[in-house]
Amino acid sequence: MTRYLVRRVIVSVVMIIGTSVLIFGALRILPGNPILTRFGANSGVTAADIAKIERQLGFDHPLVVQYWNWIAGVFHGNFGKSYFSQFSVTTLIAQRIPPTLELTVGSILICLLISVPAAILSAVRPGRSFDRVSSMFASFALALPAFVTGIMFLLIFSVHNRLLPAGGYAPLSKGVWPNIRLMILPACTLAIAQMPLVFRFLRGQLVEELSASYVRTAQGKGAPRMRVVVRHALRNALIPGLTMLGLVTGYALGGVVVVEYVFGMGGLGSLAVTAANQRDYAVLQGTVLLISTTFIIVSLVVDLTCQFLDPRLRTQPL
Amino acid sequence: MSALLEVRDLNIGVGKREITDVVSGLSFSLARGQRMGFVGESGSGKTVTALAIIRLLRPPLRIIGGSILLDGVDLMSLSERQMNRVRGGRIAMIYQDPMSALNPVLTIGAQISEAVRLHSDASRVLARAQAIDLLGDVGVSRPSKRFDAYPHEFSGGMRQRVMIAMAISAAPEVLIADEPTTALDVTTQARIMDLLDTISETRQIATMLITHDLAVASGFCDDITVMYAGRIVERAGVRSFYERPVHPYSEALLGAAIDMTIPVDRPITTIGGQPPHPGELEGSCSFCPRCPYAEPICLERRPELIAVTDAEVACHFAEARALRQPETAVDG
Amino acid sequence: MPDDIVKELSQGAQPSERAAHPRRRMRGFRLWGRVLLIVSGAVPLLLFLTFLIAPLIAPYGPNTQGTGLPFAVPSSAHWFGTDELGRDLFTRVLYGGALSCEIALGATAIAMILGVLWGFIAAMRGKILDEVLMRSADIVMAIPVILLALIFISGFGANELSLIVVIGFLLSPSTARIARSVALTETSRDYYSAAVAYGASWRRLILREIFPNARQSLVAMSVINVANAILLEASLSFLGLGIQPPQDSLGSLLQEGFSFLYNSVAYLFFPALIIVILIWSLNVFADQLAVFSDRRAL
Repeated sequence: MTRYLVRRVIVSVVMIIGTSVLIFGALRILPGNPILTRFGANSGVTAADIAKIERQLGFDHPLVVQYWNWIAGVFHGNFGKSYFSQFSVTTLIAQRIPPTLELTVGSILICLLISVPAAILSAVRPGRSFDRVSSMFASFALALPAFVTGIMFLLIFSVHNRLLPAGGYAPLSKGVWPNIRLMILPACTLAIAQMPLVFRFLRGQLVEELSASYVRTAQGKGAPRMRVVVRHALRNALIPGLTMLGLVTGYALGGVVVVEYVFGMGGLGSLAVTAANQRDYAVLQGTVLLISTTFIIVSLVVDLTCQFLDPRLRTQPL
Repeated sequence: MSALLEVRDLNIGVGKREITDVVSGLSFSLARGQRMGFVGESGSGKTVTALAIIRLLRPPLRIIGGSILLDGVDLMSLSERQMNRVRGGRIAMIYQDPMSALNPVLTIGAQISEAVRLHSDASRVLARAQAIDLLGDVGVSRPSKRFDAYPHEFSGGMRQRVMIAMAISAAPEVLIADEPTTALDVTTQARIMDLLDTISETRQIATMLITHDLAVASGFCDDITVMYAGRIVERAGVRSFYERPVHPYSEALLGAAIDMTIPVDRPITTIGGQPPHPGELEGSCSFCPRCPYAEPICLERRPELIAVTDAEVACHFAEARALRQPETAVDG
Repeated sequence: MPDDIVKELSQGAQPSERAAHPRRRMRGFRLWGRVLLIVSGAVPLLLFLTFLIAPLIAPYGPNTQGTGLPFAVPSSAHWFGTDELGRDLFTRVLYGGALSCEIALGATAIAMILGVLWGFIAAMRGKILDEVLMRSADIVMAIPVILLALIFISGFGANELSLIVVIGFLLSPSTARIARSVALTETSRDYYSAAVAYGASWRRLILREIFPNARQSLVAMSVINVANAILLEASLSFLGLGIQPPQDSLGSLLQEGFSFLYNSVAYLFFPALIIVILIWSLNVFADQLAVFSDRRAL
């Protein structure tokens, strides 16, 4: 067990390093000089000025050194300095974490709140009306991009009915209700994108578990139906279900980009979009590194938890 | 002795629109403490009958006729809630493959305690104590330690003991054992059958032993019921069955049992052919195609179960066959 | 009811997932599945063809301003209404759809070629090369696709060609994974080992041994890639990092329409509708393909 743990952690570390190399390399190897693009067109800017800025930002060092400086800085919590604003990347990122965090967690919670009961109800009566209807919904929702759902919500709730404001974010410190009022539409939008995946997966697992022998044994003991489903079948289905949750978190982290844009929330996603537009590589790479590292760590935690929860894996020598 | 469990004319079918019969006209009764063996090849309907008795048949299988009486109460008339009290509390069942029949992510102790608490008001602590006692009763060593173990940490024989413990935990009156030893090796088989013997004796539990292993049945049962293609073809006391099987199928089964006393170079007798598909051979004797004694009448009419000396047999030639000498007797 | 199933059930087997799955009914399934397959395949095809002939059927020019009042409601003169400059939206959607499909198809081509080679080589060579190739695929897939897209577009610039290349590249690792697993089932076969033993060349191995049997999965995979490419292009253009005016794509139309959220619904509705229809029908088509090839293989 510990051998597996160690191996898995090492894999994650390698992944994090690999992604950082990819992120950094992609921005440096591709054609285009951000400084030139941003300032080159301005009048009165000479080549010497450009060169000076470049030196300030460390462009004159070889790539490997630049990479090393960046990574070393990250370890100390210093993500570098934004190319085009006076803030450090760390400051910019820190400001933007709360909305993104709330959006991600909130959407996952809403997703689970609806998909899990729906999957249970579908799995206990497969092929009947509830199952057919929800499977159809899932299939349809799968094709709805997050921005379409978001725009639809905006149109319905903000434009035509003025029920909810059209976007923005209010931190919890300003009160719970204002926060929820602004968070509900984006969170639901993102949740709808995740629901079909979780629903389909869990339903499939449950149907499989429900046809297993031990379910028959439990029923033979005189256990009521619901107890059998929840205490026996669901317990078994949740283990692979947890893995699915890890994947879904990945989708959510990607989805925040679009959703934050649609709802004008100042989170990490919109920060990345702005940085990409402005070619502010420092901000862009810092943001993307943070998000992808979060995903890798979440996957790691999920995997290890699965290992821990399944007694068959827990006590085997691996 | 009034029958504890009585099945009358049970019909089980499969399918949504067109229904094919899987079990037809099945009737038998089980008295308190009686041990009945149900033998037959795979697909004869034994397991389906067992599941039907505790109403655990899953669609597309359905009970389409007949009644199942437990102490005079028709189980078909009970609500699901009442039925849950019967399951485990009055009729318990153990299954063929103990590995897949136990929940892999719960401790065996938790599973036994669950069985205890489903049929009594026992607290968790009390249930745990009872479970440990039960584990001791079924021959599991160091039961208090084993309580927290998981199914995959046990050997096949041990798991079957756990299943038996679970089954008897609520003191049922009937135990249905569906091929309990098939998945085990021969020595473990013997031990488990011994355990079942002791348990059913001391707790006065009527047992329905479903098996295709005639040797196992002979050592344990009082009576033998032979099933073929969803019907009972013979019913007899264990001694007369093994000494004088009447139905050609029973004779063939016993003939096919490997006897250690016959010469080594004699070929093993098998029963040629396959059992019919459900629904085939409606108006005739289902065994006819494979029967060495078949006559034209066998194809024209289905034989009813009739009583002859020491047995009930469904064969057109039952009386004649019952009177003949036991040439093919096998030591019981 | 099929005999073998009845036999299985009467021996006490548990009804399997097969009987329980809402779509896998025994009777009448074949017909419904066939219908679905044809319809879901025909819809995107029709749309593609319509976009292809856009210049021929468009009632106005894509940039012709003032053909009607701004933000006109859909009418017989303007089927989808007009935009803020009075340009006909139906025309713009036609041209936008054409460009989106162009990008999606181009990206899919790149994704398939790159991904299949990536996966096949990993499967065929095995050991260290396989490990390295697959780990790199994992690394690329560990970053949410849109973020990586942001990075690449930021570097490359946002235009049609860069979109095709970037999206194609981003879809290749998942393609590679699937191609690899498909290829692995082939490389484990005896006739493959025989071919290697008598010294068949690379090209022959891929084309004659692996490819024919992998064809079904690869077709399904490319359909899914087209759907994903459409989604990705639309997302990027919507964020302003894809197709830029004066060019139109479905996503860029949404981007423009979004800024006029309070003025016109049609601006957003029709491009979004087309996107959803395309993605949905392609997904259903790929699903049905998989189901049909699955049953044939049984």
